Amino acid sequence: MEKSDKQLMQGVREGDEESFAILMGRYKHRLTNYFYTLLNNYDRAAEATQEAFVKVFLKADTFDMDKSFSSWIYRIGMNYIIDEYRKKQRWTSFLGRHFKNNNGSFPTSYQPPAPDEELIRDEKVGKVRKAINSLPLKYRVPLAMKDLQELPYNEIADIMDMSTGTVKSRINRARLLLKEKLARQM
Amino acid sequence: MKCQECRNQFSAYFEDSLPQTVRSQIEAHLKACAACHGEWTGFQSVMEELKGIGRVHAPAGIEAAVLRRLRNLAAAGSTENWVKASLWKYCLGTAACTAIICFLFFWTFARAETGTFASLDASQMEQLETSGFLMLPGEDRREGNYVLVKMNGQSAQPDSRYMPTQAENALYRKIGIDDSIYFGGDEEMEIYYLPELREQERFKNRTQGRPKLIPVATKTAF
Repeated sequence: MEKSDKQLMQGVREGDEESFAILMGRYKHRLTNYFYTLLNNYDRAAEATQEAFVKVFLKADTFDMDKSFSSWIYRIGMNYIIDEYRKKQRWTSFLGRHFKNNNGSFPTSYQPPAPDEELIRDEKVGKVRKAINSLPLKYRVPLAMKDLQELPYNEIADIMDMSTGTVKSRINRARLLLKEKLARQM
Repeated sequence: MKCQECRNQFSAYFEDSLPQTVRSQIEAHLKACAACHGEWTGFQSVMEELKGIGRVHAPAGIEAAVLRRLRNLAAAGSTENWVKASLWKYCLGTAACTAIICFLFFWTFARAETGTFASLDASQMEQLETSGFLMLPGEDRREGNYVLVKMNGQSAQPDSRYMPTQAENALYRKIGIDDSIYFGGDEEMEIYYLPELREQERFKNRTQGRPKLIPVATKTAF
């Protein structure tokens, strides 16, 4: 019989690599998709997935067995994204302070890297992903969880530590914003 | 139903999670309002786009890569524990080095302040002192420091008729000039800071030598 996430987590806590490998197998595609939606870069998404799994293993003792593992791992993922975003903001702000041209743009050599276009096969999908990526983080994260990970509202609320009503409202706002951004691109 | 109210319900309407009465209200509004109808059409297209966005797969061998990283971390962890155990020795060493460097720095700095004076000779000092522009201890807000001001290369002359602006006063306060002494506004001002002298007597003994003056600012026309 297939072990539940919680049973596997119990094994992880005891240092069982096999349980951990099964858990990774269960969540690797979901997490990679989640990060890919949020980062719009496959290599970074793969790296983020690895980071999230490493955190799961190292912080296994802090996992509350009464709660959902899925919510926990997504929360780890969300925190990773927020940390990355803050680092990027700091870096952008540093570049802005020190290297901006008179016209306010970055010099060519400091241009932030473009999204990995090679991995975007379909132009239309690429535009949608780019538009999602341009949404503010507070809309992008719940939208990715709902429309790409297909998580229920109550689980998203649990992950984001906010009310279901707020989550619903943010997702609706995210979809409307996305519509406007796509309309502008087309 | 208002337009905003209707648009706020688009997701719930799309997901069919609204009570029938609200659904009917939205449908009625969409029929009556062309703008909201357009928004709703666009919203549906976005939902279609999101469905068709496709999925990616995790890279092959990700499990093995994570396990490898964890083993490396565990190996590094034992080194880290050793470092932590000996950390106090490094901290002690660093603190001692910092203390020595600080001592050497302040010793050198103090010597520089009390060392050979330069810049002005005794007669110039006297001239400045008598003209009231050498501010003596107690006159300066920073007790024991001296500020000299020259204008257009000459010792500054007071102009009691001139009323300084708030900005000028702020500058004076910043560099420690007594607010009661004002200057004209068009001159080039050279402001000096004479460090260290804490006692007037001590200072007087030094007027025979050359005072060391540190230029603070040169400002033309405030």
